[in-house]
Amino acid sequence: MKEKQQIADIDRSVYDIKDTETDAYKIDAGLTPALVEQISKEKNDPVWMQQFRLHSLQIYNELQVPDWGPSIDGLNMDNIVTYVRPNTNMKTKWSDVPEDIKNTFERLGIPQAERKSLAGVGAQYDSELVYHNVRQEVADLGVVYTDLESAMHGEYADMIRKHFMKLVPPTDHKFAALHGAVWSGGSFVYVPKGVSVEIPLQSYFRLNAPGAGQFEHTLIIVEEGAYLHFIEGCSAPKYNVANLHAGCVELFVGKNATLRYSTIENWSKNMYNLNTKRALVEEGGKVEWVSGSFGSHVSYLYPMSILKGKGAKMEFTGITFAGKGQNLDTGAKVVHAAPDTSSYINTKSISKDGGISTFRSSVVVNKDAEGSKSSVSCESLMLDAQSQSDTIPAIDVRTRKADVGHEAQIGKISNEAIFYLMSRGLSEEDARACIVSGFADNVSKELPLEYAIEMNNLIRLEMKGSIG
Amino acid sequence: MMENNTIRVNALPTLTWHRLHVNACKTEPYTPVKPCTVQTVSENGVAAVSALEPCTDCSAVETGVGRNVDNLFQWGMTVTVPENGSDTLRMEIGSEDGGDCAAFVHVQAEAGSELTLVQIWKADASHAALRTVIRAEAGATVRLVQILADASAECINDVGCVTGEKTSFEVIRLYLAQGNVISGIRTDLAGNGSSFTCKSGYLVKPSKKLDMNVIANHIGKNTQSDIQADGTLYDGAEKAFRGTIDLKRGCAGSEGKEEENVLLLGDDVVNKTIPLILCTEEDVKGSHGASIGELEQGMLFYFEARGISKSEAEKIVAKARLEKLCQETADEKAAEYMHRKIEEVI
Repeated sequence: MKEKQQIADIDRSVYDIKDTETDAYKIDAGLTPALVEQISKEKNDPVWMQQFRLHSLQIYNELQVPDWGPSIDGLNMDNIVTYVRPNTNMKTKWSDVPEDIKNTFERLGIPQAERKSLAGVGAQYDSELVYHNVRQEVADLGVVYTDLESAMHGEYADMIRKHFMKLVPPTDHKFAALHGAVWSGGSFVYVPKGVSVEIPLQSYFRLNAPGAGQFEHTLIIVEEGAYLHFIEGCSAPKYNVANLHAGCVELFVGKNATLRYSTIENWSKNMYNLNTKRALVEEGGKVEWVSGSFGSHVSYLYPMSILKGKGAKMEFTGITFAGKGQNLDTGAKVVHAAPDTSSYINTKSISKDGGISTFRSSVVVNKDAEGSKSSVSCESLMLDAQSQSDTIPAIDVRTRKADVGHEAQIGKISNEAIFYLMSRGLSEEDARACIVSGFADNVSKELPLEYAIEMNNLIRLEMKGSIG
Repeated sequence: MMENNTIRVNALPTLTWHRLHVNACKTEPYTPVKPCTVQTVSENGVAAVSALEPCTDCSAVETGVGRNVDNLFQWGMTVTVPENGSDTLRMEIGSEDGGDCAAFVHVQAEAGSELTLVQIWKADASHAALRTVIRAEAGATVRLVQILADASAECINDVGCVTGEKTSFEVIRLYLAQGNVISGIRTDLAGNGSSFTCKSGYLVKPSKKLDMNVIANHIGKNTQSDIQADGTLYDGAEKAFRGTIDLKRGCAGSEGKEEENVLLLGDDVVNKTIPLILCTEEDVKGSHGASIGELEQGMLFYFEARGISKSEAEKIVAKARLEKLCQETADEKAAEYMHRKIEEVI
């Protein structure tokens, strides 16, 4: 028991670091046109963006809260601070980042990862990026990796305007509209035609302020024949008040290009994670989603792929771990909008200590998508009788020339497997953790080694104390 | 619930994205002017069958289509199979003078009884609705065979069942209807060790719609459910299949599975498949699978190598999927009737 306590304390504290609030600017809580205009002014928006924000706010006020997912009654927008500017501007040298913020990210291993295994890193603290850097040799290839605000005022301004919230319009749902109104921070990545970025880029999002929201926007354009692996990480310390994450990710994958987008989400368990991710894939292109959802109090997360071009492909590999007090509604969506497109969705979910895990998906095969194939596989593991695990897939096929398969299973850890491992010297707790790690293997093997280790550590941490 | 002069029926037990239009089926409400005629023949004379008469409680058991059609069922009859009794009942459901009609059949299968209930739809009306609710007491076995090959423009086939301990509820349904069909079935596996199997075969003709909702609620311990649907959609046909296995807290040792195979034979088809598993119990197993598409290439090659054309091969496979149901129907007369209807249609 003593060991359990020590391990839990040591590991959790990495994510639970709370910095003293020394923000340079913090907007009043709530959501009004005046506050949105204030954010726009703070961010020095171009006129079109200011109008876009106000229009989005109007849409937000008109749309209803979703009635089909987990309850978000505990989220009161009147109490959410939508913009918190940290006490620094964006740096390109790690040594220039203020000491307290730097320490937080160093504990999370961000600069170490950059040195060892990344081509570039962006680090967002509350509403703004505090650090952004890309290796010179990658920049020399013409790869742009910067914060969205800078890009909006520079040579890529027209490109941003052409793509910003075109895949996820504010009318998509209430929290997409909210994002359109108060977005701040995030990254812009542009990979030119034929360029292959061999080592990943990473953005890490850290929310420190209690009662605040984070609304970063990630826009990635991968041109024809290019390749990119982008990693997104996120965490926050736990507070007694609700925090909100309503980010937005828009991915444009060009002809014959490939984009892999990996996420390990470990928000604190007071977080409402209402995130929207979407990819548009052109002819012969491919988007690969790798998604680990471990944190948050409530999550709505369903990365969507629109297979627009002939032969476009999508793969989604995901794992969701819902523990005590968590209601994680996750899954994937795909639209086959062109011939010979293919999609493969493979997910695992684990529910424990009263946690609720829901796999939700939609596969739509349009009339024109002749020759398309789709396969969905989801497996759920129930670790106790207090938890809940639901599987809610939907398939809509509009052409005879399609091949769509779906399979799902739900069950518990077999007693035989535990007995087998215990007979070889493992404690029951370690045996269960071992089986759960194996269950999650489909995701961990898709991640770079460092992230796979982090994910396995998270699983082990969640599994500690699972007996009795 | 009324929305823009439509009612929601066949609703999923839990919602998903509204823009997919799969959460429920919307249909226009109507008021039946007469009861459907229900001609009943008992093979052994064991079951007591009442006459159709105005009924006051047609919603004693929750059903698959749901409460929004409660008002349709103003006339009902009761079938009672006494304790340890055994009988086969054949019902023909028709419409007098072709008017819109509805009927409610309440089956009480007492402990240890065995009932095979064959319902053949022969109504020819704009609207015909039948609700069958079954209470199966401990140790009872109820087999329900439903054959819809009628000419009604729209049929509603609504079933609800509550099972007692160690009861068995077996359903076989064949849909070859000329019109649109809304079909819902809900079984509450309340008794420990009870089981529910539901095997449906369908063939949806051009420009017709079939909307199915099958719900298996596992409440008692060691309960079993097996939901299967196999069918074919012709050009312009539309079908939705909602299948739910709900493994409720306390149903330890239970297992539910569901499978749907859809053969698409025409352009402009709309196939919606929504197979749900809801689970709040640890010691259970649940699984579902679905395959949707045209004739598999390997199978087509097999046929063509034997001189069978693609269109002929498609007919053979479509027919085989339905004929399977005949083999699984214990009642020979019903199986023979099903076989004849399949021959007529394909």
